[in-house]
Amino acid sequence: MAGQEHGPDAPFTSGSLQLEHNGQTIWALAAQVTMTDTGHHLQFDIPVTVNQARSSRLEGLWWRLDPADRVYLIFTNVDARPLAVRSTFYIAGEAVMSGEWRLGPHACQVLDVDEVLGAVAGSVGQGGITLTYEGEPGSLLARGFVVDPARGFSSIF
Amino acid sequence: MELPVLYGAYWTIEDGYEAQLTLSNTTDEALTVWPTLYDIMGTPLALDAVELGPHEYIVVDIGS
Repeated sequence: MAGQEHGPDAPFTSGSLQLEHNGQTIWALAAQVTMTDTGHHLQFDIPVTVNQARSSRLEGLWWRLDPADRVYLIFTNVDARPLAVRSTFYIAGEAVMSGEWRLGPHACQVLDVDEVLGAVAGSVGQGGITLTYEGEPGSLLARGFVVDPARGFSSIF
Repeated sequence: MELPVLYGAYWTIEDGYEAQLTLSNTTDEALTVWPTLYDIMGTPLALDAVELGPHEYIVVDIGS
């Protein structure tokens, strides 16, 4: 997964995407992005969908099977306006870390969960995530990735 | 009239990944798709329009 070292001159090597089409309904097009690292036997299938969220709050779970797994949370502003996002991570029901992020139009934020949680993460295998944002419901998409290249393990949440 | 829009949260070709975009027309009519990639900062890159026949699918290489 990509890291966070992106500046104005960064190469065009990661981000989000948008598909506009002329079908009679939104469902005229089915689409997905497939990312593959054949050298490490890794693959992620990311659905490309209509965002029908009716709330400005997203709830999810992060997890890993092994302490060596790296866990990434990626959230994307699909709107043409900037978006303020607040993230809160929970372990065993307790809020352990919160952060605030400002995303430009169509910008992504990539969080390495171990880096965000630091020593708190330890060997914890799962936790909760809440994302709230100030904007129209449906302005934020989020995906999680679990990966261990050493043993060829990859999954999404 | 606004055209229908679908969103993908993420793509990457960093760290040894290859990325492909699969498009499938689910209808009996021809379909035109206008893909736009955004980098992580939100800079847009419009790709060429893709024409799909009825129930046709196509795989577009994003890069490697």
